[in-house]
Amino acid sequence: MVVLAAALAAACTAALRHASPADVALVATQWPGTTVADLERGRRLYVRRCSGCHTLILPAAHPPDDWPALVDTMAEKARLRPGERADVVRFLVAVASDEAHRPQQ
Amino acid sequence: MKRVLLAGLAVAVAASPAAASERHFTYTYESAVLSPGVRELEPWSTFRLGKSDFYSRFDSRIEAELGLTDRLQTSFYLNASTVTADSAGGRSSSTELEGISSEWKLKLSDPVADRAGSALYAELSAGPSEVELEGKLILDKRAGRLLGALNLVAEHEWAFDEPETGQETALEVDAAASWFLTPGLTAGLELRSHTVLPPGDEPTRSALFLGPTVAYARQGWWVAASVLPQVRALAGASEGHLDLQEHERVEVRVLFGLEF
Repeated sequence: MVVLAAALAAACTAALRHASPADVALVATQWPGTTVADLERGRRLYVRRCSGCHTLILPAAHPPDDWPALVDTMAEKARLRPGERADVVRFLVAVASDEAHRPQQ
Repeated sequence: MKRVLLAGLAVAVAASPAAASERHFTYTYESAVLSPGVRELEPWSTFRLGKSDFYSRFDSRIEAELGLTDRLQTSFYLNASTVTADSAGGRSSSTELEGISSEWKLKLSDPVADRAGSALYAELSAGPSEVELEGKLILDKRAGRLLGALNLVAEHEWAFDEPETGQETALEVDAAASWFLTPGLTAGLELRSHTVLPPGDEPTRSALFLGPTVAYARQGWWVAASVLPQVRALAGASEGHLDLQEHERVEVRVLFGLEF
C-alpha cells in the first residue's frame, strides 16, 4: 500500500499539458488567428467530452495529421458540435506537432 | 496483400480506444464517468468462498448506468444473492432478492489531464431486511502504461430482520495498479482491506485481501476480473492468521460492461 501510494505520488504530474504560445505558432499556418485561449478551449472539451468514453490519449500518441480523422470517428458520440470538434482537433494537432518537433532524447 | 491487410487491421484494433467507460479493477473504482446520455449495462458476479464452516455466497447485481453531465453519472441496481452454509441443522441454501441500489458519482478531476483523477461516490441500498449507505473517495492516476487507483470507503448498515437487527459500520480501503499490455488489455494487482466495526462489545474484524486483476475492453464492451484470497486478518483472527468469522477465504469478482 505504501509502495503504491509512493508510486502514485511520484506519478502525480499532469500528463496532458496546457497550450502555450509556441503551440499557437505551430498551427498558425493551418489555422490563422488561433489563440492560446482557443487551444485551451479545445483542451477543456477534450478532457470533458472524450474521457467519458475512454482514458484520454496523449496527443503525441498519434502523428498530427492523423488526429482530424480520429476525432471525426468519435465526434458524434462525444456530442461535439462542428465548432467544438474544430477546437479539439486544433488543440490535439498543436500539441502533437510540438512533441513531433522535439529532438529525440 | 492479405497479410498486409491483416496486419493493418491488427494495428487499427490495437490503437483504437474502447468505447465504453471501462473499469480496469473490480473492487477499486476509477474516477471516470459516462458521457451525457451514454448508457451502460453492467452485470456483476461475486463469489465468496470459505469460512470456519462450509460457506459459499454468490452475489449477483445488474447495474444500469447513465451519464447525466460531463461530470455526473447515476446508476440503478437490482441485487440478489445465494448463500449455502453449514449450521447446526445441516447444510442449507437460500436465494433472495436483496433489494435495489441508487448510485451517484461526481468526477472532480481527470487521471490524465490533472495531477490525479478524483471523484466522490454515494450509494444507497434498500431491501426488505436492511438499508445501507456507502460513500467513497476515489483517486486514480494514469502515468504512461501504469494505472493506479485508491478508494477510501465508509458504509453504514441498518438491519431489521430478526435475528440480525441493529447497526454496523464498515471501513474499506481498496487499492490497485495495472499495466497496459495493449490499449485494451491490462493486468495487475488489487488489494482490499475490509474492517467491520460492530456496535457494543463485539470484536472488530478486519481482513486484508490481495490478488491478481485483469481487464479487457473493446468497442462497446469490457470485462474485468479479480481473484482476491484473504492474506491475513488485521484484527480478530479466528483461524491461524485469517479471520473466517466475518470474512471469507477468497473472493472472486467478474464485471461486464455493455453499452446499450
